[in-house]
Amino acid sequence: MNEKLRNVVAEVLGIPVGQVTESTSTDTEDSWDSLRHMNIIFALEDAFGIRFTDDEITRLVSIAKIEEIVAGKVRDNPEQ
Amino acid sequence: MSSRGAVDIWLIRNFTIEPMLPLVEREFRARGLEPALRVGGFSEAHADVASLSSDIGSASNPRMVVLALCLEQFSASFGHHDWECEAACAHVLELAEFAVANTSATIVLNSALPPLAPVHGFANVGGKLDHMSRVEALNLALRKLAVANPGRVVLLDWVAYARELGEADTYDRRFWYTSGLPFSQKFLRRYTRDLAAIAELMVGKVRKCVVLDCDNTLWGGVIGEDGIDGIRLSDNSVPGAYFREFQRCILDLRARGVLVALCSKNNEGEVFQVLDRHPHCLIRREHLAAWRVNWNDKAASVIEIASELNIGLDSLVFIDDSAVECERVRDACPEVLVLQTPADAGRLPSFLHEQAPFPALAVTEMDEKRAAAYQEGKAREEFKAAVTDLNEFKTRLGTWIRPRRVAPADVPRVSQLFQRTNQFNLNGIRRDASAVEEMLADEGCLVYCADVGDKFGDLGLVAVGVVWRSGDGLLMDAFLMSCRALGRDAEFAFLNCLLAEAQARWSSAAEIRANYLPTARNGMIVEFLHQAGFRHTAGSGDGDGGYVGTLPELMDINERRFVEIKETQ
Repeated sequence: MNEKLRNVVAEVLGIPVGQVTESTSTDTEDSWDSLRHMNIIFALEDAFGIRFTDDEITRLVSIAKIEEIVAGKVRDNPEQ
Repeated sequence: MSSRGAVDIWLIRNFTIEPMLPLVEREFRARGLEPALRVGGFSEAHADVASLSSDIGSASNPRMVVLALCLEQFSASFGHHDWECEAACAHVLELAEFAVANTSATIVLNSALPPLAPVHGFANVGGKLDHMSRVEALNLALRKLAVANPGRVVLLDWVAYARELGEADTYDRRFWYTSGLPFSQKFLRRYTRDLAAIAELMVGKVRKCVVLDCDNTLWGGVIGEDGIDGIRLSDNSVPGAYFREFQRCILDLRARGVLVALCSKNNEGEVFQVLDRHPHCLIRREHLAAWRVNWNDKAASVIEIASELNIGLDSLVFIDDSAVECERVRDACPEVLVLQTPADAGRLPSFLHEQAPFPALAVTEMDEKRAAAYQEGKAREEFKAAVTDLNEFKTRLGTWIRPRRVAPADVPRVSQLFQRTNQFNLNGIRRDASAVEEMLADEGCLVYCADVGDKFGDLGLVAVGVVWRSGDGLLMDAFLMSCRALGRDAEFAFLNCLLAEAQARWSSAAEIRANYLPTARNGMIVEFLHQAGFRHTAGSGDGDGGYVGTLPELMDINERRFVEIKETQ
């Protein structure tokens, strides 16, 4: 799942997937601006069939956080 | 030379449209289109529209200006008691009108979404129109702008998207107030699909014929087993009424020029028993342009239908309820658009609206006549079979052409021919309505066309030719004719009339060069150029020299005694 997730983020940011690590965040990637943040949200929602809450959206600022939150949501909605 | 499928798009917007850009890239590329996107500033719609008069994009590609303007973003009080709705509506209309007046590109507008509920409930306040009515008035004004500019200004109906999706799936409030994006991804995807459909038409990808299965598609049940009294087809009971309503949708398509063909595994006699005699069958024998009702492979039948109608496989839409048949046709003929009908017959009436396989930029008088013209074509073929001597056939067919300069009223049909004609086409260059108008306005350009007909009927405007004055000589930059009009020498007669007109206009010019470019489908034009007396020349420098000829010689060769030249009334 994390591999799929990192592929989604890498594609939106336009960087090689190898460059996406657990510590990748809005602070380490210049291209991760507010517009790309929105695109990451939509791409993840589309890829995993989930919907983030307002609170989650503000917290999704690093790969570590994204992996944690997406894993929780997919676990809660196994039919997705 | 631009590649087929390249489109220059300028997106002028007043909301955060960036999340739609990946959707546009994906949808366009899936359809073989190459979008070159330019996005206007977030709060610069006014300045961007004002700059439209200058050139945009590379001149060789079709150009599309999209005004993606929403009322939601003009003011934070959208829909509330203090919303200055009138000013916002006036602003949108002003931008749209300015754009239409100041660019020759194809312009895509959208209807505006009204607030979900009126702010005063059921009450009318102060005898004034409420917000809802004002937005309706704006949408009507935008619609009129599109109607007044057929083929060039297109109105995409956002209100209809919202009806399809419902309020909850139209908006995404998570990014509306914080990021300037009121709309959901579903909404933007729906919008993108229509933008791609328009771009397809602009580059000449036009679907022309629907090929239908019969059992469980045009009626419920299997005619071979259930018999004419057992199949479900009715005007007042379900599921028969669903199938009848679906037939109505097919006839709607036919009324605007889409050809209707049948491809069914059945005994032909039984299928026509339904078409000729069933009291509730709306599609009748005379509506069909072609049919293959037999036990052969459907992919082979589909190929035969395309060949009989003289259109490409990429012009066909195949509709069948069987997943197996759909897969077979998809596999053997990937160019064909294959649609499987929904298993629930109750969804049939809305199925074609959802799939929208036949978008159109303009419906011309020619479209309305086309189906009848194919009927005449069948009579003509039978006549040809009966008259064995080709010259006698041509004489007795009574072919005539009525050549004339293209007039402003002909522009929608002429640009449609540029977009629809693939085979008998000198170079495949697509020209939209604004490009045709630009040529008409140019003193150095002759834009010529002809109606063609014979004893069986009038095919209407089916031939276009364009000649430019070029140095000491002439350049034929377009020559195309609908395939239905070929095979009776009308193309030679039309060429002669075009050359005579060019000679009358520019008497000193003797040499004419044909700007031939090969495309995937226009092989037949090479044979024509040779028969018409053009010589192939090697190019100087980096390219093909094309085909050249001299006027008196060409006019001698292309004299056609079988074709009557009629004067324009």
